[in-house]
Amino acid sequence: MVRSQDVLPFAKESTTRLLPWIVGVMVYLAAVMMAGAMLLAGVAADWNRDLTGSFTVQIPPAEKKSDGSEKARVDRVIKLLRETPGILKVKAIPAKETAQSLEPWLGANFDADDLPLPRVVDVTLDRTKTIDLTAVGEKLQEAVPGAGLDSHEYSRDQILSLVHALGALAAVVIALIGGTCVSAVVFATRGGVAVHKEVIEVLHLIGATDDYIARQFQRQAFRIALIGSLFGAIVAVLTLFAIARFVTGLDAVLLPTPQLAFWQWCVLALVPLFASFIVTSATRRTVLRTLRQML
Amino acid sequence: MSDINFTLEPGSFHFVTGPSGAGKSTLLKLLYLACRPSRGFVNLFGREVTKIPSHELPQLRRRIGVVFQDFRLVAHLSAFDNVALPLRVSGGREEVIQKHVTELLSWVGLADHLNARPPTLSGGQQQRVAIARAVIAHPNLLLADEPTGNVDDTIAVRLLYLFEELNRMGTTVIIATHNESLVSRFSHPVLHLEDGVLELRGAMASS
Repeated sequence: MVRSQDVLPFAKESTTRLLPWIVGVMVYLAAVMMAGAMLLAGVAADWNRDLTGSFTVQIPPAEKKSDGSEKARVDRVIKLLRETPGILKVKAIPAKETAQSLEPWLGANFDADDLPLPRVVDVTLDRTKTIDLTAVGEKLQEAVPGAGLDSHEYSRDQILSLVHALGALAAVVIALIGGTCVSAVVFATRGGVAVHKEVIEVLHLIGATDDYIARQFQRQAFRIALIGSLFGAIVAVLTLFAIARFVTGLDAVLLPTPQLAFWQWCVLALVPLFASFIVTSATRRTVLRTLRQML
Repeated sequence: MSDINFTLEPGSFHFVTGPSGAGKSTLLKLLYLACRPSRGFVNLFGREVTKIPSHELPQLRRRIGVVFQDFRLVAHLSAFDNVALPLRVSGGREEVIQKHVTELLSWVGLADHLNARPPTLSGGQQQRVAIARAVIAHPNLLLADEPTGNVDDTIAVRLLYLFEELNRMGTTVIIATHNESLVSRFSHPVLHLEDGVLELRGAMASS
């Protein structure tokens, strides 16, 4: 039994030698970029959910903290909020806890009594009911002059705008990566067709169709793309694990834990396959277009 | 070439002779569809080749077997794979290909060289591989450009017997050669090309 092999001598071809590396780097960048975009979108969704279902009330500091007037003001606010329909939970943040949140900036040894810190009340809303926050704000003003309600709307809008902008930027970068990869494939394929011109002419003259010749290139392109993209995907996964481990190890409460859901891992797993498909179809189209110019 | 006009009957056998540079190879190129005429018409199998769309050329080319002057074997493929190419490009079954290619290579004396690559074969052996590749698919038209240029007389006569055998089975054969002594050993008509003018020597063709 005589074994058949590739009709075109791809093994000796230099035009595609760098292609697996190019595809690998492109897949790596695209996968990391996509993971980043998905993480950011997830974090933004969490923030949005948290902020939508809550608001905070700030009670300005009393002139004298020791006379008990501050506690009375806080109690009035809590009582009013608990009597308001649509509110699930009311929690006054202890003054000590508010002061602790300033430690990263002021250090651990400052005296909170020296600072005019407001008292903060966290309010969780019942999502099944609607509530008129303007009316609540007015009632708070009447009960405790100077008390303000923050529905986080401004912060939420700012964050969502930022996330949307970053998402759009990620999409543009991924599109650019795809475009660069396709350009590299087109140039390499044109070079390959030129290198194998003599054999291609023979194949044409013995009756090979353009499709038959294109399939030879396609098979080779798929092999190259699969090797390159799997390599890129593996390095991307290792990078994501390294970033996750680094962030988890940080003592930074403001940073969310980067964690991808199962479906997001599935999306990332599709990146090398999609890249292989793009490379293969770009190769096929380029070969067919080039062959059309030959007799 | 100019003012050349001839018709070959299906199943005929012709030699094309003439000095080097007379246009023998160009004439064959026009017939095996490597180029199209800048003027005039070439009618093959009842079809005007200048009007055939590109996507229909492969089907037409599969009916033509060609032995190129420079063999044009694929260097990295074995003798077997080179001969198998016409069958593979037309979607032949692998078990049929194995059988026919092995038989044909044995017939041309290359049974021991199935896995040899062309660069490791002598000129004569390469020529026989090229001939085997041209005839493996039983073409309707066989065109051979100096097919006996690199083989001794015994092998040359044997190869021409192979072409005659194919001709008896219905293949139209055209052989370009300047080996007058070989031509004279066979009684086939000759198309002599010289100074761009074609002259018929012998019967069966009308020019």
